[in-house]
Amino acid sequence: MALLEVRSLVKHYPVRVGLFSRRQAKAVDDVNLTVNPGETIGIVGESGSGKTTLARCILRMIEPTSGEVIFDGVDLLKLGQSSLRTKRRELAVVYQNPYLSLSPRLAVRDLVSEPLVTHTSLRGDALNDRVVENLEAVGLSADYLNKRSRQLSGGQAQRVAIARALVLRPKLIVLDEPTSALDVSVQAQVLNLLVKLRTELGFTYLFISHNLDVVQHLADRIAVMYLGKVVEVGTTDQVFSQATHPYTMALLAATPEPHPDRKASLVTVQGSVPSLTAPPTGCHYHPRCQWAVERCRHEMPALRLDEDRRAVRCHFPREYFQASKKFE
Amino acid sequence: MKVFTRWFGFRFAPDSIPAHLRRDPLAVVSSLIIMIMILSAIFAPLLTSRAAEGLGEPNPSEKLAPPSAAHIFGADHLGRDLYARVLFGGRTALGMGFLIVFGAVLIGAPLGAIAGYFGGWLDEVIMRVTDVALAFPPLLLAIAIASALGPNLTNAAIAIALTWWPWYTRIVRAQALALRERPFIEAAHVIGVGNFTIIARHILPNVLSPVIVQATLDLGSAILTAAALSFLGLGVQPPTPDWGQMVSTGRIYFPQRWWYVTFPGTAIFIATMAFNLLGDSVQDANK
Repeated sequence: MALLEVRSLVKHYPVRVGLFSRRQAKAVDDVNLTVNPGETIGIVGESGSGKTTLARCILRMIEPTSGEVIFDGVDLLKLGQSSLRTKRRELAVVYQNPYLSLSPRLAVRDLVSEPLVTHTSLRGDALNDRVVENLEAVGLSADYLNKRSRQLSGGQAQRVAIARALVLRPKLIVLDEPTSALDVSVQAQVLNLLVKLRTELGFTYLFISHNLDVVQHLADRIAVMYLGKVVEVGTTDQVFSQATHPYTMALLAATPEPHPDRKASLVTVQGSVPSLTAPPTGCHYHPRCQWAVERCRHEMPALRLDEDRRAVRCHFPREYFQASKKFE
Repeated sequence: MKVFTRWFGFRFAPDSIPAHLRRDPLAVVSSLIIMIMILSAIFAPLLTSRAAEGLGEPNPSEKLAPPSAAHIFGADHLGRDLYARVLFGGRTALGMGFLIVFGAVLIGAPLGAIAGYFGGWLDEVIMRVTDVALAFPPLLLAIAIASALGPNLTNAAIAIALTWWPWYTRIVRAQALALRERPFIEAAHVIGVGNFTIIARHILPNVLSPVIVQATLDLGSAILTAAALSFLGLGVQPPTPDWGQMVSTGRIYFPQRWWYVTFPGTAIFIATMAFNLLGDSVQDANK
């Protein structure tokens, strides 16, 4: 059974345009997603694609407009405040910027023990031992117990945030761009740590990133989002070696590859992200797609499901894939 | 202090303040004065040989004696040494000042944090009550409460604290409103930390700096208001030494026995002034 199943999740924000009229910004628009236990799913997309909003809806940091979030057999969106609070024990998040997500006045000891104090009856020495144990799991030591986040480097602070997330051994850890605020040299260390923890403790990750390289390093499956919708789903290999949606292809092409033989790809993203309040008609991607035809301007493609859970939201997926191969 | 830090997870004073203050001569002078006042209040029995008189024992033979080597500030209408009285009066004044401000913070800060954190109708209710409380002239309200509770030191402090908490509510609410959107508050929420624990552990420690600034500024006025209440007979009762009450009794003997009002009056002036100047400097340093 799936650990997390997101069913037709929608989050609309009312946006004021002009003095009296309002429009809906469809930040997350009919998203379906399945995460199996032990699996790492990567959610990829540019800024404004709704990937963080999706995560915030799943965690109920914001209330979605409609949909279902079945986590561990329970619809999180139907839970009352107190049962939700109990359920939060099974969920954890690591945020982008540890300096913002860690309370500036609390010592590492209190930051890491907070989930334990909230959900267990561990206190005193036993609590302290558990905190140290988890600090060691993320490559820190008891020396850090009394430090505050501003006294730590970015990598160390993010390790504290990770220790805080794993201290209760949650069933699902949401990683919201956990490396993008860090120095490049530290990014790899943190990613390797995440991989190590997954192998040792069997965590399930929902990994959000705009960086395909980072996602490739970690994810088993990838969902690509564009303007609030999932446009392509597949295993990491499938998405990287045979992307079928033009947007995915463009994203892949945008990642520079340090190899002298590799020429710049012909697939590029043109223009900028359209407004969420006035999305393009038909396929949302058509104004930026180099292969768009008349049909794309009028008709929104459905998410076509192929065998082995592969999905793509495009009218002509394979053809473009082949077309682009031909040009290369 | 260590337990305090462990419980609430913050250190008492923000680091940035002392460095700025050291460069500000007014702050240095006023903190020196305050330090001397606090120390002389604590060690009052060691600074005078007439401690018993300071605490209220009459000495009829020295009635209204003018300032001299024996009584450097003179003596009052019961012959008590005014220097000793003023010295012990400092205990009352500072004690009252801290009690009032502490009480006001204790009532006002949590209410402000609740209003700012929860928002909605709770915010509306709390802020309207604060507005109503602010609409009364503070001294008038304090007089009403003090006379209803009966005149004594504790009741006077309660009465004044009850007129002052709204200022702290407003300051803390504004801060809490901004803090509520900060990621670390959301992070605590997602962990499943309860709302009141979030307020106590994550909101209140972060609103401490502006509260300390306001509290320092208020200490001066608290001492002044407490003295005013005592002057009106609604505060500290004799024989407990109190500056306001001394001025109140002494004014009948003015100007012939000028020393009776002058020394306690000067003490009120210096104390109020010192706290106000320090408060101003702390406020500037905190900007």
